[in-house]
Amino acid sequence: MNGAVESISIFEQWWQNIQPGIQANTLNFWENLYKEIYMNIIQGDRWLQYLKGLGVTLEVSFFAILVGLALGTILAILRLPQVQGISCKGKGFWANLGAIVVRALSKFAGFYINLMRGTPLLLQVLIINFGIFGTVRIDKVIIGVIACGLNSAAYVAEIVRGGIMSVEKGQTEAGRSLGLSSLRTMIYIILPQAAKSALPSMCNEFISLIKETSILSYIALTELTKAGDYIRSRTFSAFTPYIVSGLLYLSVVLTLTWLIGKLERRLRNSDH
Amino acid sequence: MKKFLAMILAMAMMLGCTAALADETIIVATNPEYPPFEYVEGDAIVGYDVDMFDAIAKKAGFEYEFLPMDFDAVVNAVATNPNTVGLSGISITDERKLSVNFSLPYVNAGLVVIAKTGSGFTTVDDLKGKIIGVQLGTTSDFKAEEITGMENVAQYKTFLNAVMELQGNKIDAVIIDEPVGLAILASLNDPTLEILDIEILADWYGIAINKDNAELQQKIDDAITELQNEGYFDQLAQKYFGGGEEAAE
Amino acid sequence: MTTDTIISVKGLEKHFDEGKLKALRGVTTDIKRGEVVVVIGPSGSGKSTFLRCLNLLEVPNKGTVTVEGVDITNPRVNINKHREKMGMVFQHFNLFPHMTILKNMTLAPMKLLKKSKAEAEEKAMTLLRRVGLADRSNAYPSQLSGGQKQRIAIVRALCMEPQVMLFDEPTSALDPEMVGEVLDVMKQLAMEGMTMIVVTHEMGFAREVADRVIFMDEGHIIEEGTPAEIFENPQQQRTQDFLRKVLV
Repeated sequence: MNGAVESISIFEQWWQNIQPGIQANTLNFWENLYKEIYMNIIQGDRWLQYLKGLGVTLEVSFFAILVGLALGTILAILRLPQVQGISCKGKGFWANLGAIVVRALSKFAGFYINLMRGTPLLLQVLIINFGIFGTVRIDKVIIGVIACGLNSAAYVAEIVRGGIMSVEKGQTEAGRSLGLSSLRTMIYIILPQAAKSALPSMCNEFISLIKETSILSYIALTELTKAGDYIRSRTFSAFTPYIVSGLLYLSVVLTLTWLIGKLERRLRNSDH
Repeated sequence: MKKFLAMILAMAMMLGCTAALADETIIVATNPEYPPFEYVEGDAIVGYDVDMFDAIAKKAGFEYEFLPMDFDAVVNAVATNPNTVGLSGISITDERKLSVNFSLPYVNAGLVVIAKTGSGFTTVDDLKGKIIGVQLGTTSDFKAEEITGMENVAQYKTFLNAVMELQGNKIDAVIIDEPVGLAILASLNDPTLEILDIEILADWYGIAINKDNAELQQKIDDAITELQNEGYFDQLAQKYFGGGEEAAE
Repeated sequence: MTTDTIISVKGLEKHFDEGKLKALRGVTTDIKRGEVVVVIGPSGSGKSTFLRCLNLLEVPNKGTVTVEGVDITNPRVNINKHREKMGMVFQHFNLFPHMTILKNMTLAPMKLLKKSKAEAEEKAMTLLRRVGLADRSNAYPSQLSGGQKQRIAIVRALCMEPQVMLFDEPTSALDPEMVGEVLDVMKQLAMEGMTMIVVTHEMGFAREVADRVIFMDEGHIIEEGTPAEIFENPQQQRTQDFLRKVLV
């Protein structure tokens, strides 16, 4: 009652109880399990580090998805057959020049997609960090967003292109015959329908992206995998921190899957 | 529920099995990206630790083979496999002693701080709040965390990456084992990097040995004692550090 | 009927597959304001291609299409402006499945004619009442029958207040019992004086509504004239053969 006696939690109590067993190396299975849980989650409020790592993973993933969607959609449009072969013959110098630029961009988009899909994300991350941003001191989160976003864009481009191609040609014709420009037809008529048919593949891509951000631990960004690595380097547990990180990834992915499933049902109800 | 129990059982058996495996060949877990202690030359892993361990094995009379891995995996590998030892310039720390035993200490490498020339850092206090690069799970990592706080330590997979980030001025300093730092600086030959005159108290290196393998520990310790008496460590220090280092007594 | 020419087609040629397939081999004709022209002919005769060249959904390889004095095959012409004045109805309706009927009808007027939402919707509702579908304004296309879809497609085009309506086999994809309701809307439109060019197999409609019937085969206009001339007294052998087959 003199204040020196602090009330200790039940977790601390159990930890004290298994101390003799740790010294003598005589823990049974359940005691060992508790030792792992205590050391890797409870001790030193380590669970907070997983949550912080999770926060970074979500932050990077969210913005990388936005970058990937925006850039990927542009790449997809550049790769459409009617854009690849665009011609403005006889429409004047500027229109011709524009067509030449668009055709060049289309070629570049194809090259870019092959390059990004043909090399490992890890290499891209390392090159962007140690090469392109080799002497620029910016937040690693930004580097992560750029690297993962640029990579994802290549995959998104192919998904969106597939989605656009799956929309019947008659839809474009109907839009154009009303007098809508090709851009407006794309925005108001084709893309909304393409998005719907691309949604399942897109969901897959988002899931991959979230998990692939784990590669950013290589550039010392403390995201969820790195948080597990860090705790493991402090507690020397063989795999417990990875299981905690893994469960957190799983919960994020399952939540995302559920949300997209809901969105898909809503889209289905609204038309077909 | 039955399935769950079966899975638990299977896992427990897996853990048990590894303990029961008693083979004569010792697996040496190492992170060979750590010159001059262990590094790859051609196809072979070479270095201070490698020479020493070969001498130990000859004295103690066992076979061994190397298993390269990330440094942060070495201690875990030892903790879970009785016939695995960790030979990777591992500092003997209380935290690690919770998971593994250590041989007699064999060398004190010492830590140094690398920074850009003209950084103006002269004491450990100057490093407070600065971004310090290290290799994850090394003594440098632990020391850096004490000095500048967890959120300011940038942990890389290798020391080389940390030094390269320093070259690009993306971090403020690198804390690193002295021989490793010297070796990296020598190969980079970058005049904008320098070793600061700041002393950071370091720990002795030891070979990590599984807690259940007291027999192996005895063999290794005996061999180290013998080698010390023969003056072997002085030769080794001469070969790899050109003298200067504090070898085991 | 006035003698004012609204569309003038000269020497129109269209090739597909890098010239291997010649869909149109020099078509020349004038369409007058208020005229209802029905184009008939066997499949593959080029009649749909001809229609699609009129609003440049197919870009002709040779020849000109002059609409109200402007040659729209000139690349410098803003084709979108001309398409606003030329409504088109497709065989497969091509309603936008992700929009309600009302949105289908108001999208283009709001974007292109700068109509307010209220204005565009008022116009759309008026047209929907005319075709008896006002109660379906908030439905989605998938909830409608084929005949209803095609009536919507017609009034969607009318929302842009076009001067010409192009119909590309508007009843070919319909169940027989739904053909009538679509043809009724077209007849009404014809009576109101709309300039119409209709590609169809409905010979009854051609006979009853057309001012002029064009018979096409193998990319040429073989014969043209009033329904009476074409149906009662065809001059060309190929026209006679075709009519014999479709009028049994």
